[in-house]
Amino acid sequence: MSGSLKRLSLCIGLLVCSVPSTSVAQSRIGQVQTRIVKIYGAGGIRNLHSYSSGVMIDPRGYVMTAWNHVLDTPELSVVLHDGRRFSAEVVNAEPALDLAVLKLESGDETFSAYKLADARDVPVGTRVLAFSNMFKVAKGDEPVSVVHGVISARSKLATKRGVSDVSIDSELYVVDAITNNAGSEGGLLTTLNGRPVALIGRQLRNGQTNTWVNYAVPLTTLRETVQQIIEGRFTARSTRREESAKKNFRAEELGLVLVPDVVQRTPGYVDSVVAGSIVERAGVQREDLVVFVNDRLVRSCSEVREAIGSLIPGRKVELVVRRDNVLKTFQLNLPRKSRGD
Amino acid sequence: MKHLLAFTLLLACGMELDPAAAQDDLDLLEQRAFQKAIALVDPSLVQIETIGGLDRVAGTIEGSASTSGIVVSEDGEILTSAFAFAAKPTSILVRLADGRRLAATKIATDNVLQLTLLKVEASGLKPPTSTPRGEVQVGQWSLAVGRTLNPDSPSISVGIISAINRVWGKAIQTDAKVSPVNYGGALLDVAGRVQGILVPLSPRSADLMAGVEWYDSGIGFAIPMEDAMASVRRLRAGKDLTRGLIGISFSSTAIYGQKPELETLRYDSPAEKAGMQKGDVVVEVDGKPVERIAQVRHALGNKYAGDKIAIKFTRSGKPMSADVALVAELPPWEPGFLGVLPNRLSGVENGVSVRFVIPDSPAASAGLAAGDVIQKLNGEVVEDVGSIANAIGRTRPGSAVNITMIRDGSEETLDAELSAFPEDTVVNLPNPELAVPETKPEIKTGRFSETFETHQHDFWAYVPDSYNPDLSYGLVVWLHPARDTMEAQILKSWQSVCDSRGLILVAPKASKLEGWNPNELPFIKDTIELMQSRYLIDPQRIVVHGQATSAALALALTFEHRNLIRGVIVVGGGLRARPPENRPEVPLQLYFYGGQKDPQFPRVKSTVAGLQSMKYPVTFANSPISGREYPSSDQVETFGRWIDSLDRF
Repeated sequence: MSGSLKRLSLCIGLLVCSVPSTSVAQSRIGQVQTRIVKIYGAGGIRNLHSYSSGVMIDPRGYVMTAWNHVLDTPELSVVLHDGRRFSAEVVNAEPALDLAVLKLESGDETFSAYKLADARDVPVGTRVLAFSNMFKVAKGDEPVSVVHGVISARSKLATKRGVSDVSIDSELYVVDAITNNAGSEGGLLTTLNGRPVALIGRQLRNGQTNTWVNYAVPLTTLRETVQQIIEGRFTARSTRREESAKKNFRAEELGLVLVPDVVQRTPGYVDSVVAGSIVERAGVQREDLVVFVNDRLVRSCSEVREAIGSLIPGRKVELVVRRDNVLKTFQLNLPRKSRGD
Repeated sequence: MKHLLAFTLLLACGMELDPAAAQDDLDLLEQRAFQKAIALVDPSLVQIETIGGLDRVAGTIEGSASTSGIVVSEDGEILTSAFAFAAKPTSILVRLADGRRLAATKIATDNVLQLTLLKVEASGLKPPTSTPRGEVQVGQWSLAVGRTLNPDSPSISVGIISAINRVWGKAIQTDAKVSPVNYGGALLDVAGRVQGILVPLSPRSADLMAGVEWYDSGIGFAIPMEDAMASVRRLRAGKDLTRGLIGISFSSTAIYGQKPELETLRYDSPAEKAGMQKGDVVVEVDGKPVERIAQVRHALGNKYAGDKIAIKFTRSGKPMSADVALVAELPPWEPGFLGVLPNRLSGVENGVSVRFVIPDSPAASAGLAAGDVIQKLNGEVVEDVGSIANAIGRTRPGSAVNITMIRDGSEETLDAELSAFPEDTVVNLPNPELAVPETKPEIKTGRFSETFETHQHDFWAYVPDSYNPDLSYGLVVWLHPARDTMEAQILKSWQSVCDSRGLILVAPKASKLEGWNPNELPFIKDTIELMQSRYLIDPQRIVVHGQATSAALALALTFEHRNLIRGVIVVGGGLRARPPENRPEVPLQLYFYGGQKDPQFPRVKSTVAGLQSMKYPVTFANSPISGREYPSSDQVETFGRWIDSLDRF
């Protein structure tokens, strides 16, 4: 067993060493690069870069890119792989998806473009290539840069609250290469044989670990919106997810009195339960530690309050507490609320 | 297995046919192998979430609230990186691959390998298969997987093994992206077996947070699974593991070039207790032959406190061996104190004559008096001052000693219990007897200036006019602050003290008035030696003295030349770094003077506190004025008295 495994890994090692470039990728890279554009727009102050990347998605000159500060100017210009430069304008944008579509002022010209219908989802572990004009190293007719990596995860991202939000509330790809650099946003993630997979996002920190995260938005999530924008039948959803602290319930209303919230991370220990309350009837006890409200992990008193605040009247809620070394689950029926309550 | 064989065959065929097509297949086959590897390890990977704890750790990245872990036993033991627990969370939850959520308890932490063992109440869990250590080779695929990002499926980063036996033999190095997203997760080979568990590490520091700054940089570390499991077997006992210390240092800092010859052994350390000595050359540690210092560090780097190791060494070429029990902490040397000042000019042939008994000291309580001649300590004959001072110093405070002495011609014995070294100066210490020579010796006395030809540097000095070549003198080395030699003031303050306490003052001058340059340290040292060659200087009473901008220099000189300098007086300054340990072979006493209105005062206070915690004998005097001024003549008088008591024991 182990002998043949070793041979196998040796064999792979040899191949990788002796063939420096992957031919699948090589043959398709040139093709992909003709469809990636360099975008120049607003920025240049306060360390904001004034350039980004885009993907040609319609032969008539429509470019898909990330919705960010670079587009915030009437003087947008787009440079193609062959060095041709066009003025462009934003057709429409969907901030909820971090997406914008541009149209080149190119008259009747046609361009080599992707069909978004070809895009597909790929599993974790898939090898990918990332195309973008990171750090604007590609000038004029120089092709954009390509880096390789692997799809590391497909996950929703908890971003650092209050600092930089990923506004997208759906699953994103995380790549194990440093794909998200200045100017990379709006670039393209493809499989090794050039099939488009995702639109490269911005430079962001992951709120869960406070480390930089390299993410891209799946094209399968974007393509319906892109199509609507091109066809002129798009209306933006709510601009940004407005999840301001809702106050449907206070913890005390349910009979739950938490310990005094003295430090930022005071854990959600139950100080007491109000006699006769629904929480008491369900069986929650003093000194229980509230760890989940429905499926949401609550790490502190303030998170418990926040989670309870956004519960919907009349629904069921599942409360999970830690009591000694076991987790106990309680089902509660939330009271209905009349207007003005 | 069958699958993998087919895989190999495919590769072989492909290569013969068409290289491009083969590459196509290879890329996709590799990709499939990655995905299969994740699937294989999936049931053994858990997500760990923490509740409560500190907001920030080490001022850098917050202790992550989520991390990954590996199942290591069927009945619910989970091994993870200690990193996530830096924030000392109040509660830990584990989410298994099948979605079950469980409360976890922390069993223990291994502070050497930075691993933490957790336990959940579960059964039938599936520990992963691990790669045998010998099969982990540089260049192989290595996949870093974690469950931190998405509890439903592991995340992966692909790389190769960059090195093995990294960070003093502890870790496998990989270029796969290792970060808080997969700390506590697994490094897999391409067959889905676990090569190691991912942790942040740094060769430069053993801190819990060390190495985190390298996240996603292409330098990642994993503890080999065999070592991790060996750690698990010990952690099960529920006690944290810490690094085992032996208490030796070597004669060279060229750790890759030089043989491991012992320079110092920490007082009361495992090495000293095992009978090892300065000059011994280590040749084998725990069965591993060693030729260089680095190899010794490698061999000891992964040992725990409580481990017993066999050391072979040579002493003057003769082979010797010792069994050494490593400890978690090396206690600092804390000198014992009797309270006696020896008579420097006793004329006594055998034993040590008592010049002065320090009031309220153990010697005073035991009834020792000036004029007594100490003959024996604990039944051993006392040869001279050096031997009794060394023996008392090496005995811990609180220990009982028995003293045999001669008083008025008859032998008496008494018992004393040693105390710690006092912080105060001796208040009523009479001046030493300084007989004036019958004929004035032909040697420079009084105040004079000179150029030290070898160094092209100037210095000035003051030698009492009553200098007697039959007596030994203390030496005060004044290092002036930047931009002011303070020559007149220093001479004025010290002249009478020098005369009464038997001191010689020497003041090297910086070549540039703006201040001292570290290159001038050799000049200062040579000036001390020049004075030693001309005058009879008592090696127990060589003191360096600096103020404000020269304080750091005075301390640097002192700690660099421990075998030459016995005392240091610092006005308005302190240490910037932790000094070396206090050692009985080179006893040192320190005197600090400062005041609250001096911006340097916090440093003075922290230096005093730091040195006290290291059990150095430290005296501190608070300035009645600002702390920035040069002390009054009364204070200088006290300095003189302090210097006159440096040979106390």
